[in-house]
Amino acid sequence: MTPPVVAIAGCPNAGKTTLFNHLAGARHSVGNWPGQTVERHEGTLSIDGEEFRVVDLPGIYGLVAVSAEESIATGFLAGERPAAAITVVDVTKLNTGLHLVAQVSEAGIRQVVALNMWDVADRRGLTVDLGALQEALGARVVPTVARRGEGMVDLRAAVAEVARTAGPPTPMVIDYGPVVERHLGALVEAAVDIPEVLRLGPPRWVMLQLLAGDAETRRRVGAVAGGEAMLRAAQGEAAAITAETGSAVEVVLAERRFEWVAGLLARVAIGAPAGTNWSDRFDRVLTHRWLGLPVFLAVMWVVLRVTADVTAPFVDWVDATISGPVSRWAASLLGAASLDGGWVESLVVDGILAGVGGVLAFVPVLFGLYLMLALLEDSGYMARTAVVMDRAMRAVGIPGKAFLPMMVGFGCTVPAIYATRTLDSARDRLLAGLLTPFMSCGARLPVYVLLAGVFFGGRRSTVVLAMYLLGMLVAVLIGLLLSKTVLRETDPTPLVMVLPDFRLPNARTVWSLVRSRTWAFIKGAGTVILAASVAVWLLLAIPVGGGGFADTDVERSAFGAASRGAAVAFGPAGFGEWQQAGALLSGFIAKEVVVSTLAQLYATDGADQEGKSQSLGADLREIGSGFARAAGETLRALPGVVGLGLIDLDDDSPSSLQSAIRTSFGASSGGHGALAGMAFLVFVLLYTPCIAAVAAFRQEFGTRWMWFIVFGQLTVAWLGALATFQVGRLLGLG
Amino acid sequence: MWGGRERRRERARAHRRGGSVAPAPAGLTLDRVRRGGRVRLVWVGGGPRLVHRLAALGMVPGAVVTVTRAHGPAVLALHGTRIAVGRRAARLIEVEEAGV
Repeated sequence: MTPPVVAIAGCPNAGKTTLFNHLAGARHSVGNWPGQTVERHEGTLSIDGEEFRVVDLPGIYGLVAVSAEESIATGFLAGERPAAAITVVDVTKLNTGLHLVAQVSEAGIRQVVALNMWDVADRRGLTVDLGALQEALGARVVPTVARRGEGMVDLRAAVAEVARTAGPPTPMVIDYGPVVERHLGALVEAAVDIPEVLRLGPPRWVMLQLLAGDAETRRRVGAVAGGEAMLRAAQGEAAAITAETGSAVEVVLAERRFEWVAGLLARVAIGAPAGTNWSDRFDRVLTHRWLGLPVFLAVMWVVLRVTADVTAPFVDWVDATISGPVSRWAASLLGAASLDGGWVESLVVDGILAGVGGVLAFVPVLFGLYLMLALLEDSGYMARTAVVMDRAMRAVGIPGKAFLPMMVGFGCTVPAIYATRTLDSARDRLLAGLLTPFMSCGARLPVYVLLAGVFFGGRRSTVVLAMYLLGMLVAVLIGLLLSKTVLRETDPTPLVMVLPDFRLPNARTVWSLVRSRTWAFIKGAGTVILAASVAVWLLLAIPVGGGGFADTDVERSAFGAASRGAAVAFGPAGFGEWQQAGALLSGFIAKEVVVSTLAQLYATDGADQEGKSQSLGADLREIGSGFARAAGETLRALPGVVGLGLIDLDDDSPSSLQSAIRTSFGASSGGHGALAGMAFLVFVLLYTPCIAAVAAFRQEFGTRWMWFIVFGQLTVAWLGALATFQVGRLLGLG
Repeated sequence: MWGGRERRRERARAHRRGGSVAPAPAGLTLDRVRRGGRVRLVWVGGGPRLVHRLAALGMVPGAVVTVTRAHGPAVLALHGTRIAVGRRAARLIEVEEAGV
């Protein structure tokens, strides 16, 4: 027997996902911006030995769906008809919350209402008469504080009890006024004769959904015999209601429901309606007409400083640990198994350790980036960027709301593509989806940090910032181009979005966000990057121009041959050496791979660096003291974050990889190494982010647009790199 | 009870006389309310997507909102929720002074 389903519904930001994590014991990312749960998450809940399947749905305000994200939630509630719904209501936003509760009840779904953020209500002096509320809603009401896990015991008990209740639930009946009731009554009478329609839910609710024009309900009703006539009748009645009242049906229905909610609240809730609070005072500055944009740029600057500079000592530490002790251990293990000296050692040391290790060294950088993004998300600032940027985004032809997926794109392009689901129209979604890959994702950062470190040393973060800004600039230009040509805006969607309250970031939420994203990066290093490293090593080992397996000159390997072919195209941009082209080729798999391939390619040329062997204890001491040193340097670097170039990280002697890169770029560009390095970075910034992003893009927008973005980005990247190098040379730079 | 209701009825009468639902509001619109202003919504226009968003948030005739940001996208306070409304949407929302 399949376990009964419990759905978690609620308005965006009401605390559904936090509650889900407490109930199902799983961890999913939570963010303080609307539209965080764009896919539904599932888990198992067991209460007194009874199993339930718990589904966390994207946030909704009602059961009529317009955006793709909303229809995931409404389609699930209406289609699967869960045994019980937990409707999460933010107690500081009772009006919209209870408006949703009323609709879930009308739909004939049994529910437990979780009055979340109960502690905030207490602090604000708001009291709710729970008994009276339960009676009016005909549903169990449980106060909860999801962030601290309070109220979960009561909630579980209530859910089990409600899910066990037999017999059809009694839907709530709201009086929609004489006009609506007259037309609705006629429709319901006609519906009673069609049993298939009755199976879709309480007839009154199904007809209300038809009147409001919900696409999902229309599809379901249209599919049954006699459904077509039903749809036509509903359309006629809806037009009549609009004619008689002067408003769209949805407005008329919402108006009456909100009146009902206001009447209910007058009876059950006592307390100060929130006046201006400290969140508003923050808003006065952060979304200020003139200050908003400078504040936003300053915030981005701090984010990049923390990401690129403050974490640098830890990068060196991880790097030293992997290339030192870990490589020595691997070598001695192989020696013990008498596998040293042959191709196995080459695979492990030059292939896997150089490749995967090269990428793992950047875990601290990603950790820093994800930490900063999580702080921005959980504090509520992220949502404000849509307001600050609305004007600018509008000029490019997309709504300010599309800025949220773009900000997510600074972390990773894949979730950013999915996050476009929060947008209302297909055209807005596509355009935002086409622009997100130009937002520089976290995986590109290691490449910037590596090359900028080689060529620009102390001015590393300025170069990194320039990359981020260039990505945004290119996105703007492409957005302008597309919205003037293939994606002209016919019916612009006006901006309407809820701004979550500012709050102090919650340590647990931030940590869970940072952990899950950093872990995804590490997992990527263990899977995709590992596979890519082995593949690159294999291609390097296969001889095409003489020599034996794993005993061929790198230039004569299969990889060398393919890269030489590609290198021809990059010559004019200053990076036509086959190693550079090879790194870019492998970068199609994922951007981090560019670093690992560079490390592999130059490591095969370089001398063995294993050095003297030490005892295990000495190795561990070395790792430990290295970590302490890195922590100390980071602490010293922190106060300099807000300054411009104040940090003076002592640039110790460059690693062999760094000097190999410097030599190689110098040679490929005829002495303009720094300029070629810059052009290389521009290419890395602008071309296809990774295989996963391409797959996500295909899933969301189809194959045709997928090819469009892949070839479009390659063209843009090539032109950008070429322009950087050639124009730079003309101007006598680098 | 609300002035808005009557005005809407007039609109409905005009509609029955043969016109469509008025495309743009004639009176005071939300984009012209200054920061700190308290207004009551009288009528919301625009396409189905805009109407859907507004209705779901309780931005329906009769609702009283306070404007907390007036330039660029406006920000409104409604029942403890802060809602950002772009200029174009704000121009489609007819309001009247709500007093204190």
